[in-house]
Amino acid sequence: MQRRSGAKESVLDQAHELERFLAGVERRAFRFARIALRNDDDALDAVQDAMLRLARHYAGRPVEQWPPLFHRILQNRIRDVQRRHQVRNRFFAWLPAVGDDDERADPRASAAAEIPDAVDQLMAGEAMALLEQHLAQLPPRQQQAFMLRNFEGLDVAQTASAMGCSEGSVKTHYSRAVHTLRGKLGDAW
Amino acid sequence: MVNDGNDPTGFERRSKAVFEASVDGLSGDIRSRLARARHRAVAEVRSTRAPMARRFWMPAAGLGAAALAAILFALPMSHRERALPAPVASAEDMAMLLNSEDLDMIENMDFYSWMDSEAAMEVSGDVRS
Repeated sequence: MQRRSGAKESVLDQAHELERFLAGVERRAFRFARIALRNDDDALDAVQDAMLRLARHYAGRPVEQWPPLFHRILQNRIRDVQRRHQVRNRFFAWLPAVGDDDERADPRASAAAEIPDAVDQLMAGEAMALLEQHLAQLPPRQQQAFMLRNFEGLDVAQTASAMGCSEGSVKTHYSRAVHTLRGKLGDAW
Repeated sequence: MVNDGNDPTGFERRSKAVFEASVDGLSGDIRSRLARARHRAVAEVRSTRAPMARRFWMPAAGLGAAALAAILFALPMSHRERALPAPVASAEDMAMLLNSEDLDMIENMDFYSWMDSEAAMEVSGDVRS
């Protein structure tokens, strides 16, 4: 009986810890996904899926392992959605008439080169809109390294774990990202 | 010097501050949807109590079933003897019900009733003639 109530308390503690962790990370995670996917619904789906997968498969892991695990899951989800969009865009490229209509309707089709919409500028301000615009033009690995290291505050080892690469690669990607962004934003900032 | 875990540069500090401002500026709708997603994820962890409960109750249910079977086998012989006639009678009933000839008769009931009426007509004809 005592062991049973102990197990129950352990589950409740775990749930409480998970709630606290997710509450602390969810908004930044949404912004990461939003910058990468350029669409609110896709970003919300990616974050929700990452939350569920962390809860289902990794909630039993030590709490300090959660940040890199969560971000690795999230990055994988973001990559899946991006691939789906690429496949869809390639498919519509075979159908010129439909593809043209679709590209006009879907802002993600020309996401990298596009200037963020007015809602974004109102929400995040002109500086963030500019930063987001140039972040979207970075290669995906540089974008991930910059957001995880600078925005999320993960250290090099955690970022390497989240990205599934070596610490040396993280340093290289991050360094290139900072140089590129500083070069492009230098005059505006 | 690009930050490798030491002092962030001015650019890094500024971009981080701008990003945090954009996070603070998220709409109520997005915040609410994120909170709902979080609650669903936490509910997944809480629901792990159900398998634990199953693990606890299933062996208890198995033990109960085994105990009931043992009691039935250990009943005194006199109780079983008193109970025997009924099964025998019911076995006879089943044999009657499962007799294929009887079943054929049920299936050909129309034929037999037609034969009956024909026989009755013949009898009445004989009487008339």
